Amino acid sequence: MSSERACMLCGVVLTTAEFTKDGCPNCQGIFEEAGVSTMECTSPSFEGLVGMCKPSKSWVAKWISVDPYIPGLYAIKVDGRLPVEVSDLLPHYKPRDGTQVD
Amino acid sequence: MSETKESTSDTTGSVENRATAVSNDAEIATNEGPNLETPNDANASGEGERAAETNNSEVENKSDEIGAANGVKRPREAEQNGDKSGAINNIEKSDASEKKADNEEQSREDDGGIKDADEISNVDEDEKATKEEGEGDDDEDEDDDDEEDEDDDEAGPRKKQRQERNRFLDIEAEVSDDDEEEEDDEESELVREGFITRGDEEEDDDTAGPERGDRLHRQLDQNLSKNSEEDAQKLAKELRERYGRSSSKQYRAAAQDGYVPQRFLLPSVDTATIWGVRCRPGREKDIVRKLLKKKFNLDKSMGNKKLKIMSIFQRDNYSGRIYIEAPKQSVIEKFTTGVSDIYPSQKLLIPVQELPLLLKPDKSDDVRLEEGSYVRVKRGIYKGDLAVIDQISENNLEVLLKIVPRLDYGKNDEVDADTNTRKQKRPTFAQRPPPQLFNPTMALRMDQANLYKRDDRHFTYRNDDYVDGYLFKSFRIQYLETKNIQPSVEELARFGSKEGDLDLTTISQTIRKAQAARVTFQVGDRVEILSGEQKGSKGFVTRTSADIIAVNLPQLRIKALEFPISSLRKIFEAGDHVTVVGGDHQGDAGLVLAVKNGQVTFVSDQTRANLTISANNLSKSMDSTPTSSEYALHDIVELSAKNVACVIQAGHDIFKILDDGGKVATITKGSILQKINTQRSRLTAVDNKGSEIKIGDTVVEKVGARREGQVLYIQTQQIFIVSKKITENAGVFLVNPMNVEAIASKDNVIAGVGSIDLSKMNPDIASKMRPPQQSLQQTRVGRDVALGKTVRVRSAGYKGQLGIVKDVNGEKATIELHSKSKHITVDKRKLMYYNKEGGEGITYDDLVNRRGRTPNARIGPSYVSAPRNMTTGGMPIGAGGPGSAALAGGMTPGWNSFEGGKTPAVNSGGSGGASAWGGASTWGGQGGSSTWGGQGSQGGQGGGASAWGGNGATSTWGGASAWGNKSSWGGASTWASGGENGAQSTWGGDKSSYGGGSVWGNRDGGTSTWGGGTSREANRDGGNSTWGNEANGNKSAWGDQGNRSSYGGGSTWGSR
Repeated sequence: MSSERACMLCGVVLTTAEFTKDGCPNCQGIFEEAGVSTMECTSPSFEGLVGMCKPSKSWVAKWISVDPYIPGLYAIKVDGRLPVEVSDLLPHYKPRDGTQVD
Repeated sequence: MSETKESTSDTTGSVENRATAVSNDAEIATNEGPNLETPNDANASGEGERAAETNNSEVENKSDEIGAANGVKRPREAEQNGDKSGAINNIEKSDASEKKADNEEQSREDDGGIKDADEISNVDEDEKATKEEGEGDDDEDEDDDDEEDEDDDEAGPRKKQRQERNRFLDIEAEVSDDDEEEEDDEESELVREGFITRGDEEEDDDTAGPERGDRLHRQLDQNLSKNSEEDAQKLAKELRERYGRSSSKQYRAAAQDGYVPQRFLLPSVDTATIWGVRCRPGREKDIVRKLLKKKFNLDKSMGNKKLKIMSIFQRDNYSGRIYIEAPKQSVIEKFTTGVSDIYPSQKLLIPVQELPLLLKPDKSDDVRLEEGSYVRVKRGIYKGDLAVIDQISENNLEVLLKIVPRLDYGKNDEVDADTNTRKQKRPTFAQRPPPQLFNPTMALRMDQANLYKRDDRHFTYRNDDYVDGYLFKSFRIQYLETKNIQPSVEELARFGSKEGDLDLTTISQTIRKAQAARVTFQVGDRVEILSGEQKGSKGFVTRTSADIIAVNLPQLRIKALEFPISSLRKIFEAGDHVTVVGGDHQGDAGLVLAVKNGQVTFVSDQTRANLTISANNLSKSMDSTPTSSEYALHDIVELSAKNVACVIQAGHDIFKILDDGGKVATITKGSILQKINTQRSRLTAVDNKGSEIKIGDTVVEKVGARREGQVLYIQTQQIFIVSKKITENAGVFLVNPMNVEAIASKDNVIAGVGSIDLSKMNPDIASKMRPPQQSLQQTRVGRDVALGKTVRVRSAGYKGQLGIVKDVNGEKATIELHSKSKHITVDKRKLMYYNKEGGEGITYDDLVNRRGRTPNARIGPSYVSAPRNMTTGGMPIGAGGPGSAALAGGMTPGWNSFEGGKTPAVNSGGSGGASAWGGASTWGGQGGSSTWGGQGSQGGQGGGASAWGGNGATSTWGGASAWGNKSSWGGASTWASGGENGAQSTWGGDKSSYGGGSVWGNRDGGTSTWGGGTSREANRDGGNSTWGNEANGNKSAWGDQGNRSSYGGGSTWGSR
């Protein structure tokens, strides 16, 4: 389980192998647009595991802003900071490491 | 200057199309405007402004005109302007030498110039209008229009360019004008020339060719940018197609257009129903995974009838719980059946207002990592070691730590004997070297190959960097413990300073200060409000957070109000027991004596001193136990293999100790190896009376202050004693065991106070006294003599059973029976005490008299029989003649009693068998008679007999007058007096007579004593017979006697 990583952008939790092979199922487009590797945008340090069954209907999904994404495992808190290339593309990007409080 | 002017005029002259002329005009105008301003002609500028105004109106008119008719008029106007400017130029040229005139001219020119410029700026607008309107217009001036259009297209941007350029030129011109006019500096002229020339060139370029090029460039740029945009879009589209998801768009839609601040997402009862379900702690994540998988599988199999489970989640902060988002409670049970480690019967709906907290992306106890903060390494050889964050990587996932290295410098490397190559052995946690600063000399000596020196302070050794002796190494944050790091003093000391010497107190204070900065209010604390509307009111803390405390004010009868920490003060009352939770005295505790102005005075439990401390640094406490977890007050701790000490003040990390040298020292927790468990210790010492001292015994000092206390610990030369009556050093002091006396043993609570009088045990002394009284009771100190003895029960119940005394408590002894595994408690006096190997049993009092020694099992039968014989022998004789009983009783019993005195002595344990009979040899010595010596060789009884013979002969018996002194031997003296003279002969005669009873009779007649018996015959006979019987009975003894040649004193006896 230690080989699992979480995407810093959408919070999806996959194994390192899955990330390297297919990239992030939600944000790969952005990563490629920004020209960064998936590994740079995922973090091995995360907390709060969410099994998201119906992202479109779930309040939890809305709250942790994963409602537009695929069902699957997500992390509530993902440590780490996205590379600037990516965060520059996303003006409303809200880091998932708990640094930004509403 | 003249050159430039000429060129300008040339340009103007060579202007081919009017539009360029216009722009030229503009150029000149702006060129010369400042020229005019430079002399600061107020009038001129005023004129200029006015001119501008008029221009505006003019322009308006013009534009109207243009708008109304066609674009022809404007160019005409421009032509005029061009002419005008040409005229100006001419004038300027002609009047170049006359400056004043020039100035005037210029001002005039300026008027025109500015006019032109404004005109031109308006031209653009006009042109646009023209364009719009003119497109559908008649083709009369189409050629012109076209030309104009082309020009106009460029006019805007070009004008800007020009203006910029010209402005630049202006400044130069301004300077150059000054130069020219006043200084005529060649260099400056050159510079100016250069600028102007460049400007000219560009103006030359302003012909159709370059213009077109410019346009092309621009077009190209536009195309390029258009293309790149298209490319990006296409790329994105391609990507989207390739990955089948519109991820970036979606994300952007969510993040930008659909960006909703979270406060608008706050849950309501309708939107969010989340249930907390109990599960097995530690399995939360696995359960979440399992349930998600289950949900997916169910979805597949159930088709349309899907279970309404929205999400399942878990937080590390709340162990033993998982949360399920589901609108209906019943679904959860259906959903979780068959999943292990989850207990769906224990579930509850999470209140809506708690949900945001539950899903906060930040753990409440999370610590934000900062450079300089302390962390602990979680794995590897540095596991558990303290480190300081030096740098944090950009993505927040790695940190560079400063850590005290653990290096062995290759000491444990495996060296291949064949190739003589080293194989670096990775150090493991189990056998890691101690933390020490990097030592370059060691590395150089031991493992030079791997050492690189960067500079004086910086080394690279085995691919790790060492600066100032510290290792700087990068660690991933998940391998670091960041929460609740409490560095110990010595760890800080390693980081503190290079020299290693540092003030422990300072460090401890800094730690404490850091701790004191934390919230010190606890729920339930009584507080007083210091400021604001509620100032002065008192209440209870109901909730605490970082710096806001909710206080319930009973008198207000409303719900709790919130106050900042700074406006609250804790309330204490005299008699409260408090613990200091912050400040220099942290860890101290005591009883509150007084409270005044928020300052609480209490008497410390540890130091017994009065301390006054701010109320907010105190907390109510139940007990007075100081704070340290591991070592407490009065603990005996090991400082090294040889040194022990007693804790006399326990702080959090710092301890005050009294070491075995009697010195008080302050040490850190790290200097303590371990605590010594004194409960298990079997150490004993001997006091000045020779009795045993054990840990827990109460002793009193025999010298000095006569301090009294309990033994805490025993060392060979010192014992640690704690007294409740002493305040110094928490009552602990050290004494030499020889200077104390045990007054109470932990094991024998009932034992009276007093000590053993050894003189009573000494047969040498005891022998000089009358036989020791049975009644003499001795109280003993220390362990009860009965303890551990083999005993036979004499009382009912277990009578006759053997056992071992396991415990003695007062009069009662607890016995473990041999026969069955049972403990019984009986009166210790109702026991017979035996040696382990059997032997004779003795009573408790005898045992006490014999100092706990049981009779030896290997006691010779002759010895045992002898006293019996004598006693039994003695009794009838004594009984024989009441008259002579005194003498006989005096003598024989005397003898007997002497023997008896011996025997009971033996029995009573005083002399203890053989060794006590060692006293017998002194006995012989005391007699001073050589015969007694002979007696020794013959054995006790026989010796007695020969002595008997010798008695008459030796004056020693005279010496026996000493015996006479004794009351009990009083009879002996009479005997001596009577017997010595007559007895000798009598005895001598006895021999033969002894054969027959008559002899006795004779002697008896001679001796009044013997003869004292009234019924002499009978007595004699009886005596004889008895005697004879005795002799018979005592055959061996007597027989021996008879055989003895040494008996020679009584050769007559021998003849017998």
